[in-house]
Amino acid sequence: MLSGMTILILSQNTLEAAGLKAILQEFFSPQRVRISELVAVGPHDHEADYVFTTPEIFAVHQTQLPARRRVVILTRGEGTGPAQEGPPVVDVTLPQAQIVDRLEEIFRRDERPAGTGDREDLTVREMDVLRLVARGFINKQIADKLSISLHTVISHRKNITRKLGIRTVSGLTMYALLNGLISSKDIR
Amino acid sequence: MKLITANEKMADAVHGNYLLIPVINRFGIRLGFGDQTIGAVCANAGIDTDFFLAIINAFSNEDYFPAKKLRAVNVLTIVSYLKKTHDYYRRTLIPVIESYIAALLAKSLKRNPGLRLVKKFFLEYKKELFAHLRSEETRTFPYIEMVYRLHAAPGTPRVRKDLRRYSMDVYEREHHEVDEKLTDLKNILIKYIGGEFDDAVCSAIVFELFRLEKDILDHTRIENIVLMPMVAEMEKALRLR
Ligand SMILES: [Fe+2]
Ligand SMILES: [Fe+2]
Repeated sequence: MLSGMTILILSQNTLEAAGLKAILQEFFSPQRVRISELVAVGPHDHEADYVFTTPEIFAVHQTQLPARRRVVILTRGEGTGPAQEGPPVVDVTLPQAQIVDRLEEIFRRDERPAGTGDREDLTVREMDVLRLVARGFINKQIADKLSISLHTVISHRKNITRKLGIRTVSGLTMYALLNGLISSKDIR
Repeated sequence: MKLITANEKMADAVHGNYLLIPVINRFGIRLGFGDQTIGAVCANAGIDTDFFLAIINAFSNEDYFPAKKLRAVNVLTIVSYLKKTHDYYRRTLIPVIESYIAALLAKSLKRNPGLRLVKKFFLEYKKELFAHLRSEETRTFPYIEMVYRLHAAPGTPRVRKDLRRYSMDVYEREHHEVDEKLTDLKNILIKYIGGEFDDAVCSAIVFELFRLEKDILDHTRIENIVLMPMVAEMEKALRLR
C-alpha cells in the first residue's frame, strides 16, 4: 500500500517508534522507515511521505513540518489527540489489529488520486457536517456544534447527498469510515 | 416502446429481456417452455394472461405502468404475486448477495476493512428489508384479505371494528422507502470502494444490487399505485354500507 514511500517517525518513545516501524513494515511495505527524535534534520526527512509524531512534538514543531507532508499523530487513549480539524490520529494503546485497521483507513483515504472522487468537491464545511452526521448527531445538534443555523445544516446535507450520491445516514457513515473521515470508535 | 403480447412466444420474451426470468418464475412458470406462446403457457398454468402481461411489461419498461389494467385484477391475485416477490427476495436474491459478500471477504488476502463495512451495511439493510416484508405479511396483507372478504360478502359487515384498527391510510403513512439504503450501497461500491478486492466478485455483487433495486422499485410501485387505491376503494364502499 505504501510502496515507494518513505516514512519518518518522530518520537522520543523508543519502543513506540520501534513497534510502529515493525507494524508498518509488516503490513504496508513502505520503502523506508526512519526513526528520529529530532524534527527535520537529515535530507531523507524532507522526502518523507508520512510523518508520525506525538501530540507534544506536533504542538511545538508544527510549523517546521512542511505542509505537503501527511502528518499522523500518535496518541495514548481517547481524547488526547488534537481537534477534529487536525491531522489524523492513531491510538497506540489499541490492540495491534485495530491499529493496523486505523492505519489502513488513513493511508487509503490519501491513496485516492485527486480529482477522481467527488470528495475533493466537498467544501471544508460540508466535511465537518458529514463527520458529525456520521458520528450520529442530528441536524439540530450539528447546528449547535458548528454555530450555524439549522437551515444551513440542511442545505449542507442536501449538497453532500447530491455530490456523493448517498442519501441515508448509514450510507454517509459508511462513506466517512471508508474514507477515514471518522474511525469506528467515533460512532455513537 | 414495444409491448409484449399474448401471441408472442414465451422464449422470445426471455430472449428480449433475460431479467424477466425470475419474474416469470414467480408465477410458477419454469424454463423449458419450448415454442409455446405466452397465452398458451399462461392458460396451461392457470394464470390470468392479462395480469401476467401487465406485470412483465411494467417490469420491462420503467415508463409503462398499466395502473388501470392492474386495478381491474382481483386483489387477491395481486397480493399473492407480491407475496411471491417477497419470497424471492428472502429466499433467493438476498442469500445470493450475502454469499457473494462472504466470498468477497474470503477472497481478499490483504487486509481491507472496507469490505467488512460492506458486509455490516448489507446485513443492516437485510434486517430492515425483512422487517418491512414481515410487517406487510403479518399486518397489511391479512387486513387486505379481510377487506376483500367483507367486500365480496353481501350485507353490512359485522366486524366493523376490525376495519378501524388498520387502514390503507396507515399503510400509506408507514410504507417506508426500502430501496434507499440499497441504492447507497450500490453507489458506494461503484464510486468509493478501495484497497484490495476481487473484481469479479465485486462486480457480481453490484449486478445483483442493481437487480434487487429494480425489482424492489417495481414491487413498491405496485403496492403504492395499484394495491393501495384498490383497497381504499373497497374500504370506502364498506363504510357506506
Ligand atoms: Fe412488499
Ligand atoms: Fe412494501
